Amino acid sequence: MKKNNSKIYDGIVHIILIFFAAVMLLPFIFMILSSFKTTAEITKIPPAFFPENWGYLKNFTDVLSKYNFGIFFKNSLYYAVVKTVIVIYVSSIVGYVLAKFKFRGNRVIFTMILATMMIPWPATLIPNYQMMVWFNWLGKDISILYSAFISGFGVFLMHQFALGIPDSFLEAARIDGASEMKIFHKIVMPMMLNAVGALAIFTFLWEWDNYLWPYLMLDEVAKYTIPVGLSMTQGQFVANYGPMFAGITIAVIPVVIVYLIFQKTFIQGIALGGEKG
Amino acid sequence: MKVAKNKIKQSGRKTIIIWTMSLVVIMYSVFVFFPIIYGLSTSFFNWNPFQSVFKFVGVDNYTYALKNPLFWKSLGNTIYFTIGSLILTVGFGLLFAALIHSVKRGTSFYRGIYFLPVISSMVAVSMLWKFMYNYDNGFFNSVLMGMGLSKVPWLQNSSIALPAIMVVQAWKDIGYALVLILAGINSIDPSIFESAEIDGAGKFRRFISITIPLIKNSITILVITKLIDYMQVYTPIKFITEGGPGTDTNTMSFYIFEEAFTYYNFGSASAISFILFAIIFILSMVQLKFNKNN
Repeated sequence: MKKNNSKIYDGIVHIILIFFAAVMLLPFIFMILSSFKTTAEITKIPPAFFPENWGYLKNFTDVLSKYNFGIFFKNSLYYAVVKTVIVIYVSSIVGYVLAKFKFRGNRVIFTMILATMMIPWPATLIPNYQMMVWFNWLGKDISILYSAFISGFGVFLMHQFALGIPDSFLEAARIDGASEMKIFHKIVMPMMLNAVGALAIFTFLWEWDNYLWPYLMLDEVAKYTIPVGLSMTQGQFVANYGPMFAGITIAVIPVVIVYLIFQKTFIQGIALGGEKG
Repeated sequence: MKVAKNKIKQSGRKTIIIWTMSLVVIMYSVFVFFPIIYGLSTSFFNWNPFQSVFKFVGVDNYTYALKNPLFWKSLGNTIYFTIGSLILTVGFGLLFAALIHSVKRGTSFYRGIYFLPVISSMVAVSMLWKFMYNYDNGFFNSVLMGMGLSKVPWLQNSSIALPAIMVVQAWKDIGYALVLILAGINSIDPSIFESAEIDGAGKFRRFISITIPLIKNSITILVITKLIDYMQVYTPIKFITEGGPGTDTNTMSFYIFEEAFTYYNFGSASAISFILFAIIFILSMVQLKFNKNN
């Protein structure tokens, strides 16, 4: 009797969960289906849910060539990859030093780095903009990349991981005569690989999604990233929904694929970030 | 010999500490602490980053902001948006986490799907939802028409527009909430549930009186991080309604941005951003304190 009850309960719960899974997926399905429709098909009243012709790829070829999305894609990839590499390296070494070395000011510096995570971006947006004007960095790559050196979240995450590395490993290497940098590169980094993966994915995603700052900094189409490109072409898209959906699809699908490959690392990273309390 | 080797080791240690900490101190001073001090001081001036002309106006920028009805409107909208989105995100996050945990099977399948919006670009997602909310031929109105109902002006109606954006924000963040809460639930010792089950507590009862108190930490972190995020909401406002209809979805960040980069009132924008900073700071302190006292 009890077993039967719990089977019925499980069944009902699965139905509810599948229903909401469909709700969560619906916008994506709508997006992908629409990217195969002509603009006339999209604006038709009443619109059809499925495209008439699945082989209609003109939206994609148009958005890549006419709307420069090929260039935007390349730029997004460039900024995201370079920034990710810098964030990983800087955060790992800073997090490791703060976790494993005792020196005066250690605690103060760590607390300050953590505190910076609470600063809302509107408070520093205008002064940062002013600084970019002073440094003459407007429109230059460095205006996007410099912030990789101040990833509070990165330092925090790597610090938490470095704490878990046993001191005896490090001492043994020191007795063998390994230099501190060698210990960091050959022992610490490989042991923090899981955290490195999580941080890499987060950084990449944030950069891929970053809109406002690149929008303020980048002044020529040849440097736009996908979010900036999407925002700048929005006006042109109003009359041209087909390419718009293709553009949105190009912005979303690559990270979905990356996510599906690294799902486990993603989830672990988030769960870890949540345990900081 | 031994002493010499020790010295070398010591100096290696010193080198790595000095290099990394110098980098940290310089970078954070230049790009974090200086901008805060600079922003705060320039909020007492009328200025413009392109011409280095500063006119000291004292607290005028603050009084100007506080007297401006648009400031209060955007503050009200921000608070409304934050509370609404928090309730939706945390509420559904808890509900889905409880349901997924209670059936055991399919955890990674559901989590995988619910998490997809979290990783999607907010600009792209906002444009997508904007079209789904489109009055003439958007997805929602097509469905309503298909069911023989009348169309809803989702983004044109003052009282619907902001909740419509809350739904987008919640849709994007539920997966994040779900993952955090599930991680919290999974870290609970299973024997606690078992003994409660033996005592005859039902699934619902167990969730309310055992699970929720034990995952309070995860929920606090979730609420604080999302509260800070939502108080600064910009992208969906910019891409879905541009603050409209009228100023009915105008939020603090949107207002600050317009004030600075559309009207070039940088002093006033700085003042408003520090008011926002103060509000966020006080809220997160209260939240942390509340959690500690409990």
